[in-house]
Amino acid sequence: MKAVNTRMKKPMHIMRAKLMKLTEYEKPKDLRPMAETCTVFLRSLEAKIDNPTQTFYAKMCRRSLESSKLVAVFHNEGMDAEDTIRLRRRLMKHNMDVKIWGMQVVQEAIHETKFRHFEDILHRFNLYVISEEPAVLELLKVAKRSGRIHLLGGLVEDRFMSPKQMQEYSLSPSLEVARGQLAGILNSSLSRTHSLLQSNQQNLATNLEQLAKGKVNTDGKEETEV
Amino acid sequence: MCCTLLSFLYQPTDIPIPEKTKLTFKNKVPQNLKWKKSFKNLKDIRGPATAANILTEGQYGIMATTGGYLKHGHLEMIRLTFGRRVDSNKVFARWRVNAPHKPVTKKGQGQRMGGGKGNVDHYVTAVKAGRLIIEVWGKAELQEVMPVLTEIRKKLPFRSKIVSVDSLKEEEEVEKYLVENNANPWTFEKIARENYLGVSKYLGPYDYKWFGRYR
Repeated sequence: MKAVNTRMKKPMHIMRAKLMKLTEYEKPKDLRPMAETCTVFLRSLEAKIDNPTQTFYAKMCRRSLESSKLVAVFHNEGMDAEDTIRLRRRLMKHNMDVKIWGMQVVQEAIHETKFRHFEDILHRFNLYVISEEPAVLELLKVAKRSGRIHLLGGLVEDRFMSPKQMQEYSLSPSLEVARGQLAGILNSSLSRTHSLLQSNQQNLATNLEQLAKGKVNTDGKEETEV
Repeated sequence: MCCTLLSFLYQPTDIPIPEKTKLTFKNKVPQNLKWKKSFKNLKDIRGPATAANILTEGQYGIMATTGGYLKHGHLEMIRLTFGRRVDSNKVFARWRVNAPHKPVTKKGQGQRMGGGKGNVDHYVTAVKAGRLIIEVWGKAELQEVMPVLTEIRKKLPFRSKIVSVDSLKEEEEVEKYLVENNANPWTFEKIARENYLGVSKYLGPYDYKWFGRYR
């Protein structure tokens, strides 16, 4: 066997093998604390390159977000295309639309806008429902029926809401009914003040009446005794 | 499910078209031979290549990682595969090895030993580790020419790798980093030069040349 033989190399002498092993590359010891080594990337992150395609999609995303009164963010629990179509068809009856955007696209779209509070609930498996009317009740009904999506939060009429708040919002009555209720409350306080103001006098009157009655009764008894 | 978008960045395509876009045919037998027969001369395939180890005008290439001999058939295989699989108006290639020039002798079948050196059977091209075989460039990305280069690479008689300008640069940087940031105080060179434990007894002359890297 020859040393240059390309098929099978001549085996090394044990001393040379030892020498090769001894002189192998050794990684220098990392002197940083363990907390730092676990959290910080060892490899420097790649420089971010401007992606025109992403910018375009982000622009479209921002436009549709800004033009809608209701934006709901859902967690997508592995909906396949068929489920998504079914959901979209159900929501279309209430003039709503299902959107699935990438996380990076949405991050770029909501950067330094009023939607920036969405950043906390953003992740890769998000599904967005947008609508021009704040029909939260219908949305929640459809979402509950599909079962594969979970509400994370939303923006209803420029107000950020948690799922619980959205639930409460959906149960609140319509504007006309609410007006009527408000009018009732105002009326009730009016009537209450009226009654409160008169209550003292009425009390006095009743007390006096009772007293007078009592006196008459006692006088009658006395008369009979005498 | 990871949502990422492809980047359709504009890439310059103002690459000049060379006169000869295809790989040229290499002669099977060299002309004007000085000697008819030669020694085996294993020095030809030993150690690192000193010539044709950098990409000149090409973007990508095939680089040998061990030494070996290329026969005329290998060169034809490369030329034909490349011509078949690649659009020569877009992607160009260039040889970085010479035509076979080293004679290899063989004795006929069933012949008894003795009677001198055999006749010349064929000619080969000696390739050292780190030598480029072909260079590829043009209006194509590495991903596009990768399958062709892989197909060629699999049929070569020595180990090789597909390289690009970036990968060669990165390799150089990594090599530099490893030398600078080595926690091991012992190096082959130091031990061999200073003859620790009489190690020179087990080392050859090439160990003092390349210090354990090539054999």
